[in-house]
Amino acid sequence: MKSNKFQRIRLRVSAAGETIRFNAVCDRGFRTIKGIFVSLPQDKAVQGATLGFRLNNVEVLDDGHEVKNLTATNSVAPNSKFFLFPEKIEAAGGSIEGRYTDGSKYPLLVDNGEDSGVYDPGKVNFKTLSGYTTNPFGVVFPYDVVINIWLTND
Amino acid sequence: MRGFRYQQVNLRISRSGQRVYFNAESHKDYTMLKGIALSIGYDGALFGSTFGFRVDEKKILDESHEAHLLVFGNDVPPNERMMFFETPVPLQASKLEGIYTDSALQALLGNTSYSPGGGVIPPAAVNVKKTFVSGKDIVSYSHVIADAILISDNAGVFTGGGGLSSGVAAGSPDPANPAPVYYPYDVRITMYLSK
Repeated sequence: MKSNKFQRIRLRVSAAGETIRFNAVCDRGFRTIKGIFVSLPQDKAVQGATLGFRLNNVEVLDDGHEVKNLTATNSVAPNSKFFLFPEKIEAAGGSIEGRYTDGSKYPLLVDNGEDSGVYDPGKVNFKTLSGYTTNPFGVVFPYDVVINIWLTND
Repeated sequence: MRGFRYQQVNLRISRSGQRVYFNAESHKDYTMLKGIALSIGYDGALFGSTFGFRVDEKKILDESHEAHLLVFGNDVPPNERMMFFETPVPLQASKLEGIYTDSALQALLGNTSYSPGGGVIPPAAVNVKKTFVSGKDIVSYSHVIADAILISDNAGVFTGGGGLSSGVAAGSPDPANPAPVYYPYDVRITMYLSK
């Protein structure tokens, strides 16, 4: 058994603003999750996209966590591309529940008024797409998101 | 419960020059603030925008701290995408306060040679922030044209380009290739908490 494994979860995003829930089980042969990298085929799809997940029902990243923090361009050296968690996360056979939300409706954000700019993430954020004929960011749908989870026996 | 947490505050900026104040409480289970980062919707909005931050009434970043010093690009390794404090800030369900000032109207700044201060501007006196005070617009920039370049239109789009003179100030947006700012946009403040 090797001491490292890159476990992948592939999601297909079919429409702007789509939220995809996913479940997975970590490979039993590896004790800890060391890092994560989210691979997106289009740079424009990074803006506004969020990814949260829980491991064995304990939150690791909240649902509003930006994918921007979990990805990198090809200008970053391969050994630096993964986001490494600040502590060892016990994984062995643990179940992952996650949620990915596409952010390409970002330009359609609703102005929440003048009283305060701090907004409730649970609030409906987007204007209706009805009559909106162009894709604001030019993101091509569908696209696939590959979530790479770095498992180790460290 | 993990030993780390990324606490977030989301702000929505609705207009040029808007100042948004927030306060929040740090998560009670975490005792150190190790880093902070901003994520801003449009690069053009970074130009001249500022972010001040306090913990328990103690100033960490003053109000004129430039927002672009706290952001990152995707060319940066994911674990380096924060401003990490040299000494972690102690927390105990602490009061976190911040103020973000949009300054996408930077290109509309007046010529400093007319300033009585001789071009030295106090950091806290950036005049574009005065366009929006206490929920009221002092100056409306709903439709602005300078040197025949459309700066802002009624659709809420501020091009971020142009200037009030025909020359382009050093470091200002290029009128020929402006970075657009669309309103509203979101600012996400991510704070790295640890035990």
